[in-house]
Amino acid sequence: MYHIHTTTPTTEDFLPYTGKKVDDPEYDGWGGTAKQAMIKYSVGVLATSTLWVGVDLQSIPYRSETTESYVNASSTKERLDQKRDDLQLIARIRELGTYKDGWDGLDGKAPTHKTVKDSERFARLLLRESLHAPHVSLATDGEINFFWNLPGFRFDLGFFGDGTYSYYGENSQGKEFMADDQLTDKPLPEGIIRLLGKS
Amino acid sequence: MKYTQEDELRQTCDFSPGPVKHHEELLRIVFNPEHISDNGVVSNAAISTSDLIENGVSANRRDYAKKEIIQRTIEHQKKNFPDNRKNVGIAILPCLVVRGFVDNDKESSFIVIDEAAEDNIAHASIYSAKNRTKGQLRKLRMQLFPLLQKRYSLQEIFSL
Repeated sequence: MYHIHTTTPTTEDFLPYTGKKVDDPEYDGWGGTAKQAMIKYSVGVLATSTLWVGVDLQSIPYRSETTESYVNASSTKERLDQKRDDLQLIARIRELGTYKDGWDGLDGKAPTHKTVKDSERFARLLLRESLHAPHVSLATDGEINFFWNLPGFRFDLGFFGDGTYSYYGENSQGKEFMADDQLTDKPLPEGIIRLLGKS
Repeated sequence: MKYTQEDELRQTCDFSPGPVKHHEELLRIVFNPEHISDNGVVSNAAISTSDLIENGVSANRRDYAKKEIIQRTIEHQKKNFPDNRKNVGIAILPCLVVRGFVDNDKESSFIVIDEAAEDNIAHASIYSAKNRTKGQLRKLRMQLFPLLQKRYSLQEIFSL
């Protein structure tokens, strides 16, 4: 076995260039005084044809956060917020997907798997934080329905599992919006999106 | 289409009280918590578009309705939603108003048909007056939306 030692690199070879040295307290890369990093390479070549490289770290600059055994998100936006409208909507759609025939105590039909998929697909396309969330429910014929009853706009949109959706809506000025056989990957017109908006 | 506008004038069977007249009021039970939002608003999904074409939107003619028959229907549905007490309600749909709705072509939206049964002579149903697309049927149930929001208890209905 052979050991090959290369020229030892310094920390500055690896850290972002800021014009300041790592020992400088104003060094931006680490926000404070950094330790010198000394990294040795050792390269061993086996008598056979295998080459292996190992890197021994004596010490490297570190951030205390990354040495913990778990990581806390530094803000809530970095982890899933279960109160998010889109997540709640998806959960509600999937809940409806568990309903069985006769769910209403009479002849209520369960939604088909395709109806659930179509609804979910559209919901992922539609929802953003700037929009009001719909009331989602199941009609007795198996339709998954999205319904908005807003001060200036009422909107009814639903899925039957044929890969399309249809809708009808009316704003407070009496203007109507109606469509049939819209593919589930087709977003709503901008005019409707504006009426569903929170602002 | 199961019925046409001409069928509004027909009596279904011998024990029927006759065709539904314009001045009558229809009682629609709104119970299912599925269709009522947290702030008590009844969703459009309370009326299925398929019922508007195929099976009819069931109602009871107030002039002929029996309290115990409606009570039985409510009790039957309560079994499936035992925790839902506060949302039980009966909406009053004036037949004249229902028959007065029109579509964008100024044609009647609905027909109201006598569908008396031997165990409930008050039974009637609301249908779309003609074949329509899903979008058009959504407009029809949107027309009924305001009528479903004001609901009464069984006691109130039979004491008013």
